[in-house]
Amino acid sequence: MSLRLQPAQVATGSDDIEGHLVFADDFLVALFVRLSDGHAEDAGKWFLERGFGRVDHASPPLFADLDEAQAWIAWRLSPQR
Amino acid sequence: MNLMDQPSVVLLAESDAVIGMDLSDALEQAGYRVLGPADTVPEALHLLKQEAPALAVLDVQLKDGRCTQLIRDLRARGVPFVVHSAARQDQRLNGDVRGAPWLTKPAFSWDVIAALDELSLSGAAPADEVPRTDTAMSLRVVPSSSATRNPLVRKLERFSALSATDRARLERLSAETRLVGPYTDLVREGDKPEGVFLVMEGMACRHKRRASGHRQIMAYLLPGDLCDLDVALLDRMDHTITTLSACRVAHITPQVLANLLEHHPGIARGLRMSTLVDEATLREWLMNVGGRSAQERIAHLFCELLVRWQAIGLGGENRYALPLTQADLADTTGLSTVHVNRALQALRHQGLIELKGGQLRILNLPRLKAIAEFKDNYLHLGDRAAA
Repeated sequence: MSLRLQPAQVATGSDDIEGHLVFADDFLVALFVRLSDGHAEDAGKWFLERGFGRVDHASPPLFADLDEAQAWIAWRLSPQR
Repeated sequence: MNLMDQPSVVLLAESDAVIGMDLSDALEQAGYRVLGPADTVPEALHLLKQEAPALAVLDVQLKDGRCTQLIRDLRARGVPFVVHSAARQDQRLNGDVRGAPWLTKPAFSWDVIAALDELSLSGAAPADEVPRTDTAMSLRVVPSSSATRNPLVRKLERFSALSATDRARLERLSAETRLVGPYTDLVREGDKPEGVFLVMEGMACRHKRRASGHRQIMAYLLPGDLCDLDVALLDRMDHTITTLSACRVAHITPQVLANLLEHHPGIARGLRMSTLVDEATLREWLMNVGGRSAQERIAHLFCELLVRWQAIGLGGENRYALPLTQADLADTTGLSTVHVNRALQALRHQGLIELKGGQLRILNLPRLKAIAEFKDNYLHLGDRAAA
């Protein structure tokens, strides 16, 4: 399985607009959004705006960077889990 | 009061003999040791010198005149005091009692005790300074007038016609409280329930947790709210009750509760109504989580809390204490903290709310209600007419 990122602007209704669509083998599995300055100590972190299928999560963590976010997605999608 | 090992000694200076006796009894019941009541200045000064009280309750005007010397001596000794006086409140602004908690006489003994508890908890704070108000720690620092009343009585009165005996019974029931810090479990899922908890100050919640730690809050308990009238019928708790802010909490045993239900029909009706309202509120919260957007959920919750704080006389015209974190709001509304933060910012940008120092101010209530489609019918506040 290979992950691919595609930048996208997201209309969240807030200043959090910088996003990345995440594809796993050409299937859309997640959308991450970078948190703006309005989020105080969480500003700059990546938030799982939406996860599909096995990536869906009730209380997803925040990620310091996109590498960390992708590692988490790979773990969610791994067959052993 | 029962947090302390030794009873605090209170000097009671009171011109009216009957009020003095009543107050003295109430203070003793609440665990204080009372000096007096002294009805003259020399008598009060004598007790002050001889017994070195930790606190005092004063009527400014004693039988032989104004107790200027007594106030001076109390301040010199660093004894904090509560003023309990029939004099007009505005007289305190230019008098020597400036900064002291003021209760209009005759105040509910419950209020006098609450004011003394606050003073004793704030340690040896000099009485000439206005006590620091940390909104998270004390939502109702000092009841400032006789209009402040027991929230349990206020709440049940909305649902049921209470007799003077009913009211006195409820006051006694809620007089003995203990201070509990924030995020303290009062009873946990799996525990055997032993009576009910009654929140008298602060905010608590019912919640459940998943193995992952994810928490869902199912109800807020505000002052006057008690958890689960008939909980004694259950073997084990199916959820946890935890304080969200510092709280004053009373505990009511199953026996006392059974007695109330049997012998006080007015109280019984009020308590049953409040159980129905708790259930109706839960239905509305379910509607919130399942049927409203992030912004609508927050708006709805804020409208509800305004009505609930006002119903117990502790909300301002459009403002109230909101000692909650964004995580608390998130777990209440089934949102992430990110979505809560966005919703709060959106409501702020529209000029609808202002959140500052643990206080929420609603700047445009009609608009906030419209966003949430808020109707307060489920809180059944006007249902007493049907009694």
